[in-house]
Amino acid sequence: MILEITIAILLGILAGTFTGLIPGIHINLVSLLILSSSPFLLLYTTPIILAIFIVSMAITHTLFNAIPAIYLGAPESGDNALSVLPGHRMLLQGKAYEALALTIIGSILALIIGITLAPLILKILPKIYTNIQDYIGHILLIASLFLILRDNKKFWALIIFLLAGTFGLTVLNLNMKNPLFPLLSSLFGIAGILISLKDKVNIPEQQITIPKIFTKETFKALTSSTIVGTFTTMMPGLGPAQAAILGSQLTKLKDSGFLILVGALDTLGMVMSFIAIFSIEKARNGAVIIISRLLTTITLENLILFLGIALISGLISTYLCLKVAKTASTYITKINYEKLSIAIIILIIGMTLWLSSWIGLLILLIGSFMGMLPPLLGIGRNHLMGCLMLPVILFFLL
Amino acid sequence: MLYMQNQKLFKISLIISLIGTFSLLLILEYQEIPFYNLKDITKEQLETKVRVQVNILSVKETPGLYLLKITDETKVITTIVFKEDPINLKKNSLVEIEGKVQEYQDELELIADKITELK
Repeated sequence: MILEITIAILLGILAGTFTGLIPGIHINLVSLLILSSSPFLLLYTTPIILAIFIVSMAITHTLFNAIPAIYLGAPESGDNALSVLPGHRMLLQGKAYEALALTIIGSILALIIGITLAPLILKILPKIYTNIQDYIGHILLIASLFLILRDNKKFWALIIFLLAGTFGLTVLNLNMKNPLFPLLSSLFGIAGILISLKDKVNIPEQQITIPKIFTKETFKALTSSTIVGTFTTMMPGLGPAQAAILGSQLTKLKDSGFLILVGALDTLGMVMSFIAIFSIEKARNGAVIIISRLLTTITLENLILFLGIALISGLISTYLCLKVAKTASTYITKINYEKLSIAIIILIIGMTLWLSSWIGLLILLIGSFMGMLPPLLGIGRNHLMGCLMLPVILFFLL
Repeated sequence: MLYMQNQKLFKISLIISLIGTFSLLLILEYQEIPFYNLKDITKEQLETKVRVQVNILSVKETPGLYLLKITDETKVITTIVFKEDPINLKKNSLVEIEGKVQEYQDELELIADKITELK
């Protein structure tokens, strides 16, 4: 059993490294592949071992996806679409490694905090949830309005939110395969790459500098992530990216604090989703949906096991992620950034054609132009999240 | 100069976004979700949406999901319903289900988007 668990953890880390490093691959997509191959996998192993593999992969994924987000300026799907801003800025200052280290510090500390607070969260989550579940649509609407009104260009922020919302609502209702892939990788992936190609980004020589861990900034970032992370777990459609904006409103954060916050919310979101499936029976992401299918009942022992696995794989991934980032810092100036960006766009186009056929390409085209609007207008890209928020709000209010 | 370029790119992007979204809406308007007998659903329909009229044979609960066994006399398959919206699912009721075809452990099943009770 111990041997099987160890193998499952290690394979999970390997898989999560891979999916995290490739821009555009979302954990839900990988989960879908596991779901379809599970009859084959279950011939060789038990559901619980498969679940351990998924937990380990999911946690690793949330750490490693910071690498393409920072080094390539191509955010991996919508979840960490925001880390691109301060992260990319630091890349251009030659401090990509430090930016990544900050995100990782956020991830691993949030993981530890999440696990430590798990008994408390397990107690309060169902109580809060029963009180607010009838108002989810209203709360999401208020959160969206808040995010729009805090922007300097409120009119355009609203237009972008509604435009992306209509786009998302239409795409999600079309009879097509994998609508999320072209939707998110165009709005947040290709659009960002095109903007950086247009501006002819030159990557300077990168320095390996290590940030201070225990600062006031870290404390502030982690406190607001824990509060916002717990809250957003109860809200479908509020992913780590929206959570990051809400979290950064609770307290004023510098770039370093913001990166910690982004890393923390991404990993904490995953930990919280394990707690949420157990305590309020809500499946918040693809990884959790599969675990729920595989095990049919999730016991407290299962949850404790998963949290333990999350901690082990998180610690190993932290070490690996920093190693990979060091290598990336050396090579990023040696490779042709322009060619790499174009290669990523071609990869996304190819995957869209494979996953969603021609209609996916049409969505990819529209989304790539729409995704360039916020940076051209000088407003936050988070308003594009309307593509998921508006459908969820309407679902709850109508 | 750069400002002018950005202005032009902004206009192009805005026009393509608007026309694009509008044409997708048109496609959506004219796209009908096809009706199927359960036995006619094959791997061809994987990941696409279908409509079926069925009887609910049983309702099983897991954390986060309901698993329904459904039949229309031609075949019995499983349907997944997420516990987002509290719906009243009763055994032996006649319903129309709109959902996505998915494969799970070598069997085809439906992920329900919309369930309407038929009288």
